[in-house]
Amino acid sequence: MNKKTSGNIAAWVVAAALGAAAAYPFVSRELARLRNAQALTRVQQQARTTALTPALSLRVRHLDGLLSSWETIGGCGAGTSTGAGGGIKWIGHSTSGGFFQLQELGTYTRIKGGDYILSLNNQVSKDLSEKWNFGVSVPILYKYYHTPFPLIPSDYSNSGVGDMSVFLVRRLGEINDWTVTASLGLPTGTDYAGVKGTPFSQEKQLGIGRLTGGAMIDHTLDQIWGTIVLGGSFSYRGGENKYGNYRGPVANLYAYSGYFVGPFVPALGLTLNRFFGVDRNLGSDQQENVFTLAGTFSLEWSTDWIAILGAVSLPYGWDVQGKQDSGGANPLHPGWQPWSLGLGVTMSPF
Amino acid sequence: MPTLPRTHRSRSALLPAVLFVGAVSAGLAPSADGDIWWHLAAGREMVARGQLLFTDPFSVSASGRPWPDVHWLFQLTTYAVHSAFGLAGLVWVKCLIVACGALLLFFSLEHKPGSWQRPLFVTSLLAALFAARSLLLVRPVIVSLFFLALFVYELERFRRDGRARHLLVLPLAQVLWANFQGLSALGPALVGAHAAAAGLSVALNGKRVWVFAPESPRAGWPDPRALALTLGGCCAALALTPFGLLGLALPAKLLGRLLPGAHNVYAENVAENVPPFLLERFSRGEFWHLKWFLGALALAVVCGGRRLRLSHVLLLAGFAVLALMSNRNVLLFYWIATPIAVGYLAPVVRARLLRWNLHTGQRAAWWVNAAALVALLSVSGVAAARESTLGEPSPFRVPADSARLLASLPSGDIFSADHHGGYLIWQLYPRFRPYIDTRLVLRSPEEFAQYLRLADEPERFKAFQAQHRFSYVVLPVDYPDRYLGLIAHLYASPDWKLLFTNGSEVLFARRDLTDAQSIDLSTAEVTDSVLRSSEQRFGGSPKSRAAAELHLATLEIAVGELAQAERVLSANDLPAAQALRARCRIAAGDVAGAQQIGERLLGQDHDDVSSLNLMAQIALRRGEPSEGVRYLRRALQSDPFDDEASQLLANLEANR
Repeated sequence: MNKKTSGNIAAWVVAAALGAAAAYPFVSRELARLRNAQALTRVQQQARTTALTPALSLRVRHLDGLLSSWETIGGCGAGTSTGAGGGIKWIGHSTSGGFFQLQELGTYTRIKGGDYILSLNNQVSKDLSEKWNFGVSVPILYKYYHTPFPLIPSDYSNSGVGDMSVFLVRRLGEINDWTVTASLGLPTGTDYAGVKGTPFSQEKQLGIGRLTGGAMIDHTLDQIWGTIVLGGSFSYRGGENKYGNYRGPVANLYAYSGYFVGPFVPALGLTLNRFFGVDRNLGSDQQENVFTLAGTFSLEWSTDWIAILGAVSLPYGWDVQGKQDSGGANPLHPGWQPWSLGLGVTMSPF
Repeated sequence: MPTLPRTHRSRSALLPAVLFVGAVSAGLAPSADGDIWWHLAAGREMVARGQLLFTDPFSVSASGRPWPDVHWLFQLTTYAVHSAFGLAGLVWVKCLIVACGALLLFFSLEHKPGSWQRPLFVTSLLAALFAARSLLLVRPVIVSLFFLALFVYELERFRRDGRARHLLVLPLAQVLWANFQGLSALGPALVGAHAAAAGLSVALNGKRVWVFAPESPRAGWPDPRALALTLGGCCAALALTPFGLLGLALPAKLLGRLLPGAHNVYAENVAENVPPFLLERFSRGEFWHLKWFLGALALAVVCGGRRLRLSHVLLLAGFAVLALMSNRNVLLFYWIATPIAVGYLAPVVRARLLRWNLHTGQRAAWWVNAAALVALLSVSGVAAARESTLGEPSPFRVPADSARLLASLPSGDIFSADHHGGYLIWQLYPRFRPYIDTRLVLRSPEEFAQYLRLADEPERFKAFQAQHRFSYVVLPVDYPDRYLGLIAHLYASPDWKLLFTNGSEVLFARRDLTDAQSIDLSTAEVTDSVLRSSEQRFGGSPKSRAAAELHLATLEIAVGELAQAERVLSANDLPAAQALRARCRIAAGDVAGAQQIGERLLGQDHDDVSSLNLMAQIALRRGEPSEGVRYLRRALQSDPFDDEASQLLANLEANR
């Protein structure tokens, strides 16, 4: 079996973990700077000297250059005192109140014929104030496909970083029960990967190679027994790129309801998607269901600082439009669409 | 396939020699660690008794307790080397073992014509060893480095040619390793990672779920059954120590003491157990390289792409976690990760450069690598030359002078810093016994916490002394400075006499034990005598001499003899000495004098945190809070983790 990839999801995951560890000193230093700045602002006008206990330190040496063996601190002995994928929406307590929010959501989407998509969406957001929130989302994708054609490899995959996006959230209402989100997608995912010079079709690419954008509005009804989320969104998916690939806009409406059971929140939801026109690959229309309705079940478990969510989503599509790809073996019919499983974790550290 | 020019090929034969010399020079430093002394003492005691030690004979707090001394082979070996060649011999043997291990890693890399793996490995490993040379101590971990390299070498040979005979040596080596150090559990971990990866590779390679490269280019290799058998053999060998289950449980017990968290008194308070990124906040320079190494490793893994092997992922993950948990493991991480990283990075760098320009690319790479090697060897040589003599312990790290004096005094128990305990055992056992040493595996967390509280809350010492009736107290002034409070407490106590100090260590004796005159640090004669002795000892090393003077001044300030501290510091123009002098003046109430020094220091370095802290304190004392906060803001902007600045800020917040 010949396997071609434009990268390796395992390598990206390992590299991301190592990169995160490498970045920790820089990030923690900046966070400490921010914390210190906030504390200094608090004391700026109110510093008093009368009750001040001086912190006189006799540690005045700085280590620099070539350290001699006796200068090192280590050694034995007491020393120091020292973006969501697969149509899954996070419903539950989630986490908040930390210095920033981190959400990792992995999804597995099963496509007909043994094909599948793995995605890991890494999202970091920060409350700028009580009303504003800003964030960045970096998806890592692995798309696997099997094709029966004898003249090209029978299995291939495409993986790497997808289109990153930044988003800005504005909360509205006295209790912030309305939120409006604007997002801007950046063309960071490859849009022309292929095998032996033949590019993959557009849905197999990691990005569209163009700026994308979206707007979303949410309304949350908090009840004693649980929560209800109603909303809708519109996404401009980039239009047509220089290779003649086209991704049409899509709008959706959704409703979710979660029930509080201690630290658990089971939730059910429905999402109605409407695609405005069919997508095109190298200038040719692709076959698509213009309408889909997805049912979602999720279960969240949360503490004050971490929340974990498992979810499954099953869409049903109808109103097939466009034409079948000349090489396609399976014409599209109204019916069940690729299902998704998701597992996510969110944290509000510091 | 393009290959290196003939001249370059012939020069590449020098690579192992360069690696050997570089690895030796990276470790050339006098012994700075406290553990080696109780290892030597144990070796001497085993030879004297003609039997192994199963209980602790050395310390007050653990006397008679069971001691799973799995280092016994290391102790006998080091004692033999020390007896024959002295401390310098031990350092040289350490360097040779590291160099031999580095050669094993070198030869574990596949040799292909035109491959850049080995040249890049030599540069990378020497850079890593040099960066982490503070961890290249005369300790059993050096033997573990060698065994790790041996395991990597044999496992790679087996992976490439599938011959199971390569694996036969591993269980035998494991028996030796298990009797050298508790870290020997890394052997089965290494084999286990390869066995799991080989099993999964053979079972799943070609299947859609398998996202890694096959472990071997040949189908069905390496044989997971052979690896599983070797794993079983290594696990069984782990138990082959004279200490049975106690010895077998030791690695897990040691690992438990590394788990970071406020609940773990060992992880929080033992310098080598502190996570490296946390230690870096205090040491400001000891582990600057770790983040860059991790970043370079991430790049190498990305370059590996579809060539990434599961065994490598398991090893990188395991050793990275160990290193991030505890700074002592950073060396092991570099040791294992460097050959893996080079294996992924070298082909990509080579392909890129050759694509750019076949001849120029090769030559450029060769010259860059050669220049990097020369630079590394030069810096390594300079660092080694600046160290003190190998035949003596590293300065300030052992209470050598106090031990010499104690040898002439009546015997008794000693309360000492834990890292001084080993040296006192080596020099003075059996006439004297320290309360504690760095064999913390013999002490419960509660006992260790109680010991630490004595340093942090010296007023507890009186009750503790009533319980133990120590005859002497030996403490360091610096490295670490944690005992300064206890030193000041004892100096002021009517129950103790300061018998000796050289500025860097202090020796107190119980007042009822001796008629000798107590040393009065308020007199100029004592100060001058200590300064003269420092000059004699460190005359050839201005850096060490300056450090000795700072220690003396720190001691004088700690015990409240500010005039003498001022005398010591007045002749020293180094910024650190002047910063200490300014603090001395603050303590004496001379705020204007302190300000004068502070302004001069800030004029030399606008971002010097110590001076900014000083100026902040002066402003606050003058009743100018906004000015104080302004200086403090600059200090915390420059170093957000600075201890003194953070403490000042906390005080300001508490007094709002």
